[in-house]
Amino acid sequence: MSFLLMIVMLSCAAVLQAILPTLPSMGHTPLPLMPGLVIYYALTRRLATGLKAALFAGFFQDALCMIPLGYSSFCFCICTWLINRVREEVYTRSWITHMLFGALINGGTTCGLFLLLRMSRLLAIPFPQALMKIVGSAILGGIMTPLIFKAVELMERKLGILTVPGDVL
Amino acid sequence: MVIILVLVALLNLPDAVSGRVKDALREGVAPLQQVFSVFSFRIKEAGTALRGLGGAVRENREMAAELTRLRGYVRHLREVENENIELRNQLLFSRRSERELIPCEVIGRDISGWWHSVRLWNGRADGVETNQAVITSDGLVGKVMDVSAHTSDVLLISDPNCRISVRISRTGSFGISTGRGASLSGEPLCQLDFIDKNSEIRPGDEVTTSGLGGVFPRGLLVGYIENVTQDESGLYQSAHIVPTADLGKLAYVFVVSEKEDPAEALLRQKEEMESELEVAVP
Repeated sequence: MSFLLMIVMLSCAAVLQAILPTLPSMGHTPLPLMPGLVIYYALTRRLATGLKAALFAGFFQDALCMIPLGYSSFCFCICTWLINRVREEVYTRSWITHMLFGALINGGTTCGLFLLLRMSRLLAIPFPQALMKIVGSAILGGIMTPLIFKAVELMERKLGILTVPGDVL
Repeated sequence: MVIILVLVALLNLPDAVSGRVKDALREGVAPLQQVFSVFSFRIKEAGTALRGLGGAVRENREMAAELTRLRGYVRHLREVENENIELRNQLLFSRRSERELIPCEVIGRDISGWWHSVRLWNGRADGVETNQAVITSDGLVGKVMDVSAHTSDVLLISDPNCRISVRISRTGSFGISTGRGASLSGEPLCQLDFIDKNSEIRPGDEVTTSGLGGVFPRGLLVGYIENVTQDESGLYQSAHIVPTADLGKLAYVFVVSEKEDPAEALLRQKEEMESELEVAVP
């Protein structure tokens, strides 16, 4: 049930990310719904489940755009692993943690993807625009991640998947 | 461990296999994308309708006037077209290939935000092929980059990877248009380079596709010149173009499919074979 919900949420997030409007002032960065879900699973689940979510999120993202298959999964998996390493040191239930992780992970993933795509000679955008995208994604990540956390947590509680708040499944 | 192995396998998939996997997933997600897209389009339409409720009567009157003017223009163009066909026949010019417009629905943008591209709910099954031009009634939108059975990805003219050979209608001078992303206000940007330095270009000049390069057919409206600058080397002029198509609000577009007349195709094949024979047997 939990795995199925994860797949449904990731596919819906992928589709929504493709149609929701973008802000020019944020470098036209799409709303980071999938990275938000990746952070959620990395903070609330065991490493294996978090990595599964990261793998599928990246798989969906790459399939729905021109990024070669595996690039996003690679970036998301690294983020999940990093979050897993520092999880014990932070308040996983605090919205400040979600905001900070959202900003850092989104900025980091965007930066990592930019470098990977630039090395593969697939991107031709000028550096100032790339920088705007990285900053934009960090800001949007900081805003969106706490909201995604609340929404998914609420949904999982209603479905009976999450019974004890802060429990690592 | 399994996840790491899967990740390594994904990163090292051959292009053909990776393409097939992507196509399959795209095809699977496309219906969901279409449902969400229709829903979002309806919300946008409702919002526009609510905002424009007061101006509906005035807008209707203006559109009726525009329709009358355009009908007259179409009548005039038909006469010109007939005259053109007659003159071309008299001069024994070959017929131009026919252009077929495939109507397509836009179901999403690039999910990563790295490319200026949109996804269409039409693919190979509808006659869409890679490298076909995509237009709206306002002008050129981009070119088809990737096609699966029922979806296709279009690279917009504002993307830095999109280069088009263009022509300035008034002066006849050629240049290369390259996408420059979008401005802070969200306007798509294109830059025109390699224009002859002696050519007198003015802001407001119409820019159309030149037909050179083989991807975009000749004569598709790209946009208008905004400002002209001298190239750093001093050998060419550069200019900024304002695209006429509203790239930020695409809902329906047309893919331009050039269909060659069957008789013309046979004649061309015959001529090619004859010329090959002439080369082989001098």
